[in-house]
Amino acid sequence: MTDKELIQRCIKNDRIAQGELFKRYKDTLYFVSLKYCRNTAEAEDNLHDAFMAIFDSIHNYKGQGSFEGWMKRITIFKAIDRYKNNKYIPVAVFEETLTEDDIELAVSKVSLDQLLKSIQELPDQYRLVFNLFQLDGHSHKEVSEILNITEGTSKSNYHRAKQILQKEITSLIASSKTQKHGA
Amino acid sequence: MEHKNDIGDLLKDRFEHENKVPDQQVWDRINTSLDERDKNKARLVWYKYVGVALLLATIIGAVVLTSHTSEIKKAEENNTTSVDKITNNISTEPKKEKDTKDLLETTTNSKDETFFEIKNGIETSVTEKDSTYDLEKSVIKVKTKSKSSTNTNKADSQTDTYKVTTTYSYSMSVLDTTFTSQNKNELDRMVANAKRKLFVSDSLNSLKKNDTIIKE
Repeated sequence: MTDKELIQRCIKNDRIAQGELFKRYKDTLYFVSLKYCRNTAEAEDNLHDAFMAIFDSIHNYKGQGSFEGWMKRITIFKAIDRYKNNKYIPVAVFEETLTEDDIELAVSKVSLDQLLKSIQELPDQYRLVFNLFQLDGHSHKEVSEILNITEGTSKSNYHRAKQILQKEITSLIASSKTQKHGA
Repeated sequence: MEHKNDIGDLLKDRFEHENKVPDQQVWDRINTSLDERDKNKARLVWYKYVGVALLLATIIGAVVLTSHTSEIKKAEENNTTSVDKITNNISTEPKKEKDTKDLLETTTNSKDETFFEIKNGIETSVTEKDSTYDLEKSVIKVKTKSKSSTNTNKADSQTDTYKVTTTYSYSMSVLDTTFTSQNKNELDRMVANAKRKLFVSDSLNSLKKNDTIIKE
Protein backbone atom coordinates (compact mmCIF):
# COMPACT_ATOMS: atom_id res chain seq x y z
CA MET A 1 0.00 0.00 0.00
CA THR A 2 1.38 3.42 -0.96
CA ASP A 3 1.54 6.35 1.45
CA LYS A 4 -1.22 8.06 -0.56
CA GLU A 5 -3.60 5.11 -0.16
CA LEU A 6 -2.67 4.86 3.49
CA ILE A 7 -3.43 8.54 4.02
CA GLN A 8 -6.81 8.21 2.30
CA ARG A 9 -7.75 5.29 4.51
CA CYS A 10 -6.52 7.08 7.64
CA ILE A 11 -8.73 10.07 6.73
CA LYS A 12 -11.67 7.61 6.78
CA ASN A 13 -10.58 6.63 10.29
CA ASP A 14 -9.62 3.11 9.21
CA ARG A 15 -7.94 1.59 12.27
CA ILE A 16 -5.95 -0.97 10.26
CA ALA A 17 -4.50 1.80 8.11
CA GLN A 18 -3.70 3.84 11.20
CA GLY A 19 -1.88 0.82 12.62
CA GLU A 20 0.03 0.39 9.37
CA LEU A 21 1.02 4.07 9.35
CA PHE A 22 2.28 3.77 12.91
CA LYS A 23 4.25 0.65 12.01
CA ARG A 24 5.80 2.39 9.02
CA TYR A 25 6.97 5.59 10.74
CA LYS A 26 7.17 4.81 14.46
CA ASP A 27 10.97 4.27 14.50
CA THR A 28 11.82 7.49 12.69
CA LEU A 29 9.44 9.59 14.79
CA TYR A 30 10.49 7.90 17.99
CA PHE A 31 14.11 8.80 17.29
CA VAL A 32 13.07 12.42 16.71
CA SER A 33 11.22 12.31 20.04
CA LEU A 34 14.24 10.84 21.79
CA LYS A 35 16.43 13.71 20.60
CA TYR A 36 13.94 16.36 21.76
CA CYS A 37 12.76 14.83 25.02
CA ARG A 38 14.40 14.37 28.41
CA ASN A 39 14.16 10.57 28.50
CA THR A 40 12.63 7.50 26.88
CA ALA A 41 9.40 7.73 28.88
CA GLU A 42 8.79 11.30 27.78
CA ALA A 43 9.82 10.39 24.23
CA GLU A 44 7.16 7.67 24.19
CA ASP A 45 4.58 10.09 25.54
CA ASN A 46 5.57 12.53 22.86
CA LEU A 47 5.30 9.83 20.17
CA HIS A 48 1.78 9.02 21.40
CA ASP A 49 0.76 12.69 21.33
CA ALA A 50 2.37 13.17 17.91
CA PHE A 51 0.50 10.22 16.35
CA MET A 52 -2.79 11.36 17.85
CA ALA A 53 -2.20 14.81 16.34
CA ILE A 54 -1.24 13.21 13.01
CA PHE A 55 -4.45 11.12 12.88
CA ASP A 56 -6.53 14.14 13.90
CA SER A 57 -5.08 16.43 11.25
CA ILE A 58 -4.15 14.01 8.46
CA HIS A 59 -6.94 15.47 6.29
CA ASN A 60 -4.96 18.74 6.36
CA TYR A 61 -1.99 17.15 4.57
CA LYS A 62 -2.39 18.34 0.99
CA GLY A 63 0.38 16.23 -0.52
CA GLN A 64 2.75 19.18 -0.78
CA GLY A 65 6.22 18.21 0.46
CA SER A 66 7.30 14.98 2.06
CA PHE A 67 4.75 13.19 4.22
CA GLU A 68 7.51 12.04 6.53
CA GLY A 69 8.72 15.63 6.88
CA TRP A 70 5.17 16.75 7.72
CA MET A 71 4.93 14.11 10.45
CA LYS A 72 8.39 14.97 11.76
CA ARG A 73 7.40 18.61 12.11
CA ILE A 74 4.31 17.62 14.11
CA THR A 75 6.46 15.44 16.38
CA ILE A 76 9.02 18.21 16.89
CA PHE A 77 6.36 20.82 17.67
CA LYS A 78 4.68 18.46 20.14
CA ALA A 79 8.00 18.19 21.99
CA ILE A 80 8.56 21.94 21.80
CA ASP A 81 5.09 22.53 23.30
CA ARG A 82 6.01 20.17 26.09
CA TYR A 83 9.17 22.05 27.12
CA LYS A 84 8.81 25.52 25.67
CA ASN A 85 7.58 27.15 28.86
CA ASN A 86 9.89 25.27 31.18
CA LYS A 87 12.33 27.55 32.93
CA TYR A 88 15.89 27.40 31.85
CA ILE A 89 18.15 25.69 34.39
CA PRO A 90 21.61 27.26 34.53
CA VAL A 91 24.46 24.80 34.54
CA ALA A 92 28.13 25.22 35.26
CA VAL A 93 30.13 25.08 32.03
CA PHE A 94 33.07 22.80 31.85
CA GLU A 95 35.98 24.86 30.57
CA GLU A 96 38.31 22.07 29.51
CA THR A 97 38.29 21.46 25.76
CA LEU A 98 39.28 18.40 23.84
CA THR A 99 41.47 18.33 20.77
CA GLU A 100 39.78 17.85 17.37
CA ASP A 101 40.95 14.24 17.12
CA ASP A 102 39.81 13.47 20.65
CA ILE A 103 36.28 14.74 19.92
CA GLU A 104 35.96 12.79 16.67
CA LEU A 105 37.23 9.67 18.33
CA ALA A 106 34.95 10.11 21.33
CA VAL A 107 31.79 10.57 19.24
CA SER A 108 32.58 7.51 17.17
CA LYS A 109 33.31 5.37 20.22
CA VAL A 110 30.42 6.33 22.45
CA SER A 111 27.25 4.32 21.88
CA LEU A 112 24.15 5.84 20.29
CA ASP A 113 22.19 5.43 23.51
CA GLN A 114 24.87 7.25 25.48
CA LEU A 115 24.97 10.08 22.96
CA LEU A 116 21.19 10.35 23.07
CA LYS A 117 21.28 10.37 26.86
CA SER A 118 23.81 13.23 26.80
CA ILE A 119 21.45 15.25 24.61
CA GLN A 120 18.40 14.33 26.72
CA GLU A 121 20.18 15.56 29.87
CA LEU A 122 20.68 19.04 28.45
CA PRO A 123 18.46 21.73 29.99
CA ASP A 124 15.17 21.91 28.06
CA GLN A 125 15.83 25.12 26.15
CA TYR A 126 19.44 24.16 25.30
CA ARG A 127 18.23 20.80 24.01
CA LEU A 128 15.50 22.36 21.88
CA VAL A 129 17.85 24.95 20.39
CA PHE A 130 20.59 22.37 19.73
CA ASN A 131 18.14 19.99 18.04
CA LEU A 132 16.41 22.65 15.96
CA PHE A 133 19.58 24.40 14.84
CA GLN A 134 22.13 21.60 14.66
CA LEU A 135 20.20 18.42 13.93
CA ASP A 136 17.17 19.72 12.00
CA GLY A 137 18.82 22.57 10.11
CA HIS A 138 16.75 25.57 11.22
CA SER A 139 18.42 28.99 11.28
CA HIS A 140 18.81 30.89 14.55
CA LYS A 141 16.11 33.29 13.29
CA GLU A 142 13.67 30.43 12.81
CA VAL A 143 14.63 28.91 16.16
CA SER A 144 14.04 32.25 17.90
CA GLU A 145 10.57 32.50 16.31
CA ILE A 146 9.63 28.92 17.16
CA LEU A 147 10.74 29.17 20.79
CA ASN A 148 9.78 32.82 21.20
CA ILE A 149 13.29 33.87 22.19
CA THR A 150 15.78 36.31 20.67
CA GLU A 151 18.29 35.22 18.06
CA GLY A 152 21.11 36.08 20.53
CA THR A 153 19.61 33.75 23.13
CA SER A 154 19.34 31.01 20.52
CA LYS A 155 23.02 31.37 19.60
CA SER A 156 24.11 31.50 23.23
CA ASN A 157 21.98 28.46 24.13
CA TYR A 158 23.43 26.54 21.20
CA HIS A 159 27.05 27.19 22.24
CA ARG A 160 26.35 26.31 25.85
CA ALA A 161 24.62 23.10 24.75
CA LYS A 162 27.71 22.13 22.73
CA GLN A 163 30.03 22.82 25.68
CA ILE A 164 27.91 20.63 27.95
CA LEU A 165 27.81 17.84 25.37
CA GLN A 166 31.58 18.01 24.94
CA LYS A 167 32.05 17.71 28.69
CA GLU A 168 29.63 14.82 28.90
CA ILE A 169 31.28 12.90 26.08
CA THR A 170 34.75 13.52 27.57
CA SER A 171 33.60 12.16 30.91
CA LEU A 172 32.07 9.15 29.15
CA ILE A 173 35.41 8.42 27.41
CA ALA A 174 37.29 8.97 30.66
CA SER A 175 35.04 6.62 32.59
CA SER A 176 35.29 3.93 29.89
CA LYS A 177 39.14 4.25 29.97
CA THR A 178 39.11 3.94 33.74
CA GLN A 179 36.94 0.83 33.51
CA LYS A 180 39.37 -0.72 30.97
CA HIS A 181 42.44 0.09 33.10
CA GLY A 182 40.69 -1.20 36.18
CA ALA A 183 39.89 -4.42 34.41
CA MET B 1 38.24 12.82 3.71
CA GLU B 2 36.66 15.88 5.37
CA HIS B 3 37.87 16.31 8.92
CA LYS B 4 35.16 17.51 11.28
CA ASN B 5 35.96 18.81 14.71
CA ASP B 6 32.62 20.39 15.67
CA ILE B 7 30.72 18.25 18.14
CA GLY B 8 27.42 19.35 16.64
CA ASP B 9 28.39 18.23 13.14
CA LEU B 10 29.80 14.99 14.49
CA LEU B 11 26.59 14.23 16.34
CA LYS B 12 24.52 15.09 13.27
CA ASP B 13 26.51 12.64 11.20
CA ARG B 14 26.22 10.01 13.86
CA PHE B 15 22.45 10.38 14.15
CA GLU B 16 21.81 10.37 10.42
CA HIS B 17 19.79 7.34 9.27
CA GLU B 18 19.54 6.11 12.83
CA ASN B 19 16.28 4.85 14.27
CA LYS B 20 15.03 3.47 17.53
CA VAL B 21 12.18 1.06 18.08
CA PRO B 22 9.58 2.23 20.57
CA ASP B 23 7.85 -0.02 23.04
CA GLN B 24 4.82 -1.94 21.69
CA GLN B 25 2.79 -0.34 24.52
CA VAL B 26 2.88 2.96 22.63
CA TRP B 27 0.59 1.57 19.93
CA ASP B 28 -1.69 0.03 22.57
CA ARG B 29 -2.02 3.44 24.20
CA ILE B 30 -2.64 5.12 20.84
CA ASN B 31 -5.27 2.47 20.04
CA THR B 32 -7.06 3.13 23.34
CA SER B 33 -6.88 6.89 22.81
CA LEU B 34 -8.33 6.49 19.30
CA ASP B 35 -11.21 4.40 20.71
CA GLU B 36 -11.88 7.08 23.33
CA ARG B 37 -11.71 9.80 20.71
CA ASP B 38 -14.24 7.95 18.51
CA LYS B 39 -16.57 7.49 21.48
CA ASN B 40 -16.29 11.19 22.33
CA LYS B 41 -16.98 12.09 18.72
CA ALA B 42 -20.08 9.87 18.67
CA ARG B 43 -21.21 11.38 21.97
CA LEU B 44 -20.62 14.87 20.59
CA VAL B 45 -22.71 14.07 17.51
CA TRP B 46 -25.47 12.70 19.75
CA TYR B 47 -25.33 15.84 21.93
CA LYS B 48 -25.55 17.93 18.79
CA TYR B 49 -28.68 16.06 17.63
CA VAL B 50 -30.25 16.36 21.07
CA GLY B 51 -29.36 20.03 21.16
CA VAL B 52 -30.88 20.66 17.74
CA ALA B 53 -34.01 18.67 18.70
CA LEU B 54 -34.39 20.67 21.93
CA LEU B 55 -33.88 23.91 20.04
CA LEU B 56 -36.50 22.95 17.47
CA ALA B 57 -38.92 21.86 20.20
CA THR B 58 -38.39 25.17 22.00
CA ILE B 59 -38.93 27.16 18.81
CA ILE B 60 -42.07 25.19 17.88
CA GLY B 61 -43.35 25.47 21.46
CA ALA B 62 -42.71 29.20 21.49
CA VAL B 63 -44.45 29.67 18.12
CA VAL B 64 -47.47 27.60 19.21
CA LEU B 65 -47.65 29.40 22.55
CA THR B 66 -47.35 32.81 20.89
CA SER B 67 -50.07 32.06 18.34
CA HIS B 68 -52.29 30.59 21.03
CA THR B 69 -51.76 33.62 23.27
CA SER B 70 -52.44 36.01 20.40
CA GLU B 71 -55.63 34.10 19.58
CA ILE B 72 -56.77 34.33 23.20
CA LYS B 73 -55.89 38.03 23.26
CA LYS B 74 -57.76 38.58 20.02
CA ALA B 75 -60.79 36.77 21.37
CA GLU B 76 -60.58 38.75 24.61
CA GLU B 77 -60.28 41.98 22.66
CA ASN B 78 -63.32 41.04 20.54
CA ASN B 79 -65.30 40.20 23.66
CA THR B 80 -64.28 43.43 25.34
CA THR B 81 -65.19 45.40 22.25
CA SER B 82 -68.54 43.67 22.07
CA VAL B 83 -69.25 44.27 25.77
CA ASP B 84 -68.06 47.88 25.49
CA LYS B 85 -70.28 48.41 22.46
CA ILE B 86 -73.27 46.97 24.24
CA THR B 87 -72.61 48.92 27.45
CA ASN B 88 -72.06 52.17 25.59
CA ASN B 89 -75.09 51.71 23.40
CA ILE B 90 -77.36 50.74 26.25
CA SER B 91 -76.23 53.33 28.78
CA THR B 92 -76.23 56.21 26.34
CA GLU B 93 -78.68 57.16 23.69
CA PRO B 94 -77.61 55.73 20.35
CA LYS B 95 -76.73 58.41 17.84
CA LYS B 96 -77.63 56.53 14.72
CA GLU B 97 -80.11 53.83 13.93
CA LYS B 98 -77.38 52.01 11.99
CA ASP B 99 -75.24 51.73 15.12
CA THR B 100 -78.16 50.27 16.98
CA LYS B 101 -78.65 47.71 14.26
CA ASP B 102 -75.01 46.74 14.53
CA LEU B 103 -75.49 46.30 18.22
CA LEU B 104 -78.57 44.25 17.62
CA GLU B 105 -76.77 41.99 15.21
CA THR B 106 -74.11 41.31 17.83
CA THR B 107 -76.69 40.80 20.51
CA THR B 108 -78.74 38.52 18.31
CA ASN B 109 -75.73 36.35 17.55
CA SER B 110 -74.60 36.15 21.12
CA LYS B 111 -78.08 35.56 22.58
CA ASP B 112 -78.87 32.68 20.22
CA GLU B 113 -82.21 32.90 18.43
CA THR B 114 -83.38 35.84 20.48
CA PHE B 115 -83.94 38.51 17.91
CA PHE B 116 -85.41 41.85 18.63
CA GLU B 117 -84.95 45.40 17.60
CA ILE B 118 -84.35 48.52 19.55
CA LYS B 119 -85.20 51.71 17.84
CA ASN B 120 -83.82 54.95 19.24
CA GLY B 121 -82.48 52.92 22.15
CA ILE B 122 -85.93 52.31 23.64
CA GLU B 123 -88.08 49.20 23.63
CA THR B 124 -90.09 48.35 20.57
CA SER B 125 -91.28 45.24 18.85
CA VAL B 126 -90.85 43.44 15.61
CA THR B 127 -93.35 41.33 13.78
CA GLU B 128 -92.28 38.25 11.98
CA LYS B 129 -94.15 35.75 9.94
CA ASP B 130 -94.20 32.22 11.30
CA SER B 131 -95.46 29.38 9.10
CA THR B 132 -98.89 29.81 10.62
CA TYR B 133 -98.83 32.75 12.95
CA ASP B 134 -97.54 36.22 13.16
CA LEU B 135 -95.05 36.58 15.95
CA GLU B 136 -94.74 39.81 17.77
CA LYS B 137 -91.79 40.04 20.06
CA SER B 138 -91.83 42.88 22.49
CA VAL B 139 -88.73 44.12 24.18
CA ILE B 140 -89.09 45.79 27.53
CA LYS B 141 -86.21 47.74 28.92
CA VAL B 142 -85.58 47.18 32.64
CA LYS B 143 -83.07 49.29 34.51
CA THR B 144 -81.26 47.59 37.42
CA LYS B 145 -78.57 48.80 39.83
CA SER B 146 -75.78 46.36 40.52
CA LYS B 147 -72.29 46.22 42.03
CA SER B 148 -69.73 45.29 39.45
CA SER B 149 -66.92 42.91 40.44
CA THR B 150 -64.74 43.57 37.45
CA ASN B 151 -61.39 45.33 37.87
CA THR B 152 -62.16 47.84 35.21
CA ASN B 153 -65.32 49.14 36.78
CA LYS B 154 -65.48 48.76 40.52
CA ALA B 155 -68.10 51.44 41.13
CA ASP B 156 -71.82 50.80 41.27
CA SER B 157 -73.19 50.68 37.82
CA GLN B 158 -76.60 50.89 36.32
CA THR B 159 -77.25 48.26 33.72
CA ASP B 160 -80.08 47.92 31.32
CA THR B 161 -81.54 44.51 30.74
CA TYR B 162 -84.15 43.65 28.19
CA LYS B 163 -87.15 41.39 28.78
CA VAL B 164 -88.41 39.78 25.61
CA THR B 165 -92.10 38.88 25.40
CA THR B 166 -93.40 36.93 22.42
CA THR B 167 -97.01 37.35 21.39
CA TYR B 168 -98.48 35.00 18.82
CA SER B 169 -101.34 36.25 16.69
CA TYR B 170 -103.49 34.67 13.96
CA SER B 171 -105.79 36.74 11.82
CA MET B 172 -108.78 35.14 10.09
CA SER B 173 -109.91 37.41 7.32
CA VAL B 174 -113.14 35.37 6.81
CA LEU B 175 -114.22 36.15 10.34
CA ASP B 176 -112.45 39.49 10.32
CA THR B 177 -110.95 38.48 13.66
CA THR B 178 -107.40 38.31 15.04
CA PHE B 179 -106.64 35.79 17.76
CA THR B 180 -103.79 36.73 20.10
CA SER B 181 -102.05 34.84 22.90
CA GLN B 182 -98.68 34.56 24.58
CA ASN B 183 -99.22 30.81 24.76
CA LYS B 184 -98.94 29.11 21.43
CA ASN B 185 -101.00 26.03 22.46
CA GLU B 186 -103.78 28.20 23.66
CA LEU B 187 -103.75 30.07 20.37
CA ASP B 188 -103.86 26.73 18.55
CA ARG B 189 -106.98 25.75 20.43
CA MET B 190 -108.62 29.10 19.80
CA VAL B 191 -107.87 28.92 16.08
CA ALA B 192 -109.08 25.30 15.87
CA ASN B 193 -112.36 26.16 17.58
CA ALA B 194 -112.90 29.13 15.28
CA LYS B 195 -112.19 27.02 12.22
CA ARG B 196 -114.54 24.28 13.42
CA LYS B 197 -117.29 26.83 14.00
CA LEU B 198 -116.64 28.32 10.57
CA PHE B 199 -116.78 24.88 8.98
CA VAL B 200 -120.09 24.06 10.71
CA SER B 201 -121.67 27.36 9.71
CA ASP B 202 -120.44 26.95 6.14
CA SER B 203 -121.96 23.44 6.02
CA LEU B 204 -125.29 24.66 7.39
CA ASN B 205 -125.36 27.48 4.88
CA SER B 206 -124.79 25.11 1.98
CA LEU B 207 -127.49 22.75 3.26
CA LYS B 208 -129.93 25.64 3.49
CA LYS B 209 -129.05 26.64 -0.08
CA ASN B 210 -129.64 23.08 -1.29
CA ASP B 211 -133.02 22.92 0.52
CA THR B 212 -134.15 26.13 -1.14
CA ILE B 213 -133.26 24.80 -4.59
CA ILE B 214 -135.15 21.56 -3.93
CA LYS B 215 -138.18 23.46 -2.69
CA GLU B 216 -138.17 25.65 -5.77
